[in-house]
Amino acid sequence: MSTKAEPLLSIRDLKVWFPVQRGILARTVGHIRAVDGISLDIGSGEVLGLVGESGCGKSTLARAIMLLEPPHTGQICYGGRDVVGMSRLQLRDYRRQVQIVFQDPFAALNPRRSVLEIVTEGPLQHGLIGRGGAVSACGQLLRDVGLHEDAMYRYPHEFSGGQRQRICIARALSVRPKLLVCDEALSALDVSVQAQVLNLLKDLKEKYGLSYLFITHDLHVVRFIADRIAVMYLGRVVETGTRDQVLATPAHPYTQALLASAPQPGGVRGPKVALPGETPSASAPPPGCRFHPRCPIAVETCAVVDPVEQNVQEHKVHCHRATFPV
Amino acid sequence: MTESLLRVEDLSVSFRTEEGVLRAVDRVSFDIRKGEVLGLVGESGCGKSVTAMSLLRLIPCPPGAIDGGRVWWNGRDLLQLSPSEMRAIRGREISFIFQEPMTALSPLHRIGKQLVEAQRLHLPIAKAEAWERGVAWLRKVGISDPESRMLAYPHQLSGGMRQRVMIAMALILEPKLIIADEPTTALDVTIQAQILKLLLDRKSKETSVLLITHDMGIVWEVCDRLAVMYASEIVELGEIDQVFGSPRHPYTRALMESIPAFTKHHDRLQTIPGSVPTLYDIPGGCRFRDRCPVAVEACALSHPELKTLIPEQAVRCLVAQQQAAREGGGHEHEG
Repeated sequence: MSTKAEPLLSIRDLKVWFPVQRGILARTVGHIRAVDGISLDIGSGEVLGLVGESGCGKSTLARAIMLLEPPHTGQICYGGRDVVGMSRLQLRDYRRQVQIVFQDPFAALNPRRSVLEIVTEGPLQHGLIGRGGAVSACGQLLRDVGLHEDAMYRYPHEFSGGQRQRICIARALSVRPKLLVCDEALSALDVSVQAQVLNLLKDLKEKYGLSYLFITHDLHVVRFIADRIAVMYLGRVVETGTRDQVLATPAHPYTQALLASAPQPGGVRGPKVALPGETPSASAPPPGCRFHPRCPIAVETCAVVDPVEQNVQEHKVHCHRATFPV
Repeated sequence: MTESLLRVEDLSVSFRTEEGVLRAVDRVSFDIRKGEVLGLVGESGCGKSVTAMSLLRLIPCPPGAIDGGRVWWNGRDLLQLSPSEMRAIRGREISFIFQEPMTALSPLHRIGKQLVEAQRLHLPIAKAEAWERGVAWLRKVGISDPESRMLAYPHQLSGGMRQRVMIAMALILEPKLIIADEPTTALDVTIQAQILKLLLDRKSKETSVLLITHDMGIVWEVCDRLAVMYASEIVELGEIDQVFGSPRHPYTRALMESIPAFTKHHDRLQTIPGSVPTLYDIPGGCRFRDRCPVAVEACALSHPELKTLIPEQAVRCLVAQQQAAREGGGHEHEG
């Protein structure tokens, strides 16, 4: 967090486990620890980029924040208040203020509803606009996301992927949220369309003073939009810091490997294999540091002792051997 | 100049749909040279996958139809071969790696059976020998404990592992050309690097690769030459250093500028205004002109040809061609 003000959203030691059931009695034989002890803060007006590879739990974390998955343990606090203790009215307000844009704009829009219905359902429900104001509110939102007003009378199948993602963004913005969770919101789009949507998200953030939790596997995208970056590996956050700190002087060996493997036009030719093997299963994470079986600098301790958070130069790193290149 | 292995001349492919005839590939010409990795890039719907699949005649007909062109392979036109002659080439001489291995592998058969079948279809070898070769190839592509993986079903493997199996299957008959359609798009970057390395290792063994991707970073890392497609046709084709160093087609330039780099910080990203023209009724003139920052009136009048401006760099752009002519030089593209 850049300021001492209270964070907008604060996650403390959150765990989201899914039971693994076997046999006709569906006995629980274990858990997939999709999110396994995560603490994060998102400040007001801040963009937190959450990066990690598939299966590391970043989407589960997003779903937990959206209250779509019940946490096993841990806290999600919004504006200083734990969502678990919230009254129905407070929860309703939380659900309005925290909105999500999903990865697949083809699956996220009801094909039988017009854009007008899709975009204005939320604000009508929340009493933010009346029936009479729906058309003008929808028109304004569509203009905000760079679509023509006429789009409101059309149906999702009439739009391209990039346009649909704009409709999803308009829907999310329609209820005047404070925090927008973007879960791989650009991954399904072509690069030139990605660039348009990224610019749009940046503009909207300025215009409405939004905060983003920006979940992606693409480090280029994070570089463009994030103020701070958190790197996840196998259900845990392994490193957090400001964008420049994490990208310029990554401290965790996993972050270093991610940066080294990302293909970069104009860089060194040839694929750069920075890590051997694959991510282990989240149902049986390795003991000690979860990254140690693939870590190029692991020592004996790493296989036994789970590293605690170290705090160096505002980086927060979970690693016994974290180094800070000067 | 290096010998070409496969030569595509004026390939056109269309699809008959309810809305009309969609021209997915429009007079595409290029060649793949011995031992090289040729990148075919472009955005979704530009025709790159259809081009690749047409080379092996994997387009469902109908609704698809190969309207014209030739695909020269070893002195024969692949488009004229009988279905059985074509089957003898697929997998044996030219193999294909798909983006999503789960749809390319049979979910009902064990990995081992599929690897054995692929070999016995083309080679007169015994089951036991084919099984041994299968184990050896799984090991080569970096699968640990290959003996037990041979007995696994595809759904029991991770995405990276399945893609390795696909690569083993594509390489096991030691083809001369591998067509890889977005082979790493579904994978994580750390796994992607491993898979690309596997593909490149084959290159030294005189196998050529046609790599279809939308990721310019990957193209830069592994390709020798690059063909950029836009609205069903190739708009720029050239050697990698030249195309990246001085892209001459405005679309190639725009594509490169729209990628955020993490070495420098951007306040805004370059975008391409407008959208791709419909492929049902392609307008005359240059197909990129409505979105082009340098378009002139003449761009609407005639459809530009793909011309070689300097050795190893051909461009389909009137403005670039005129500029090159002013600078001196500029000769007709041989294809």
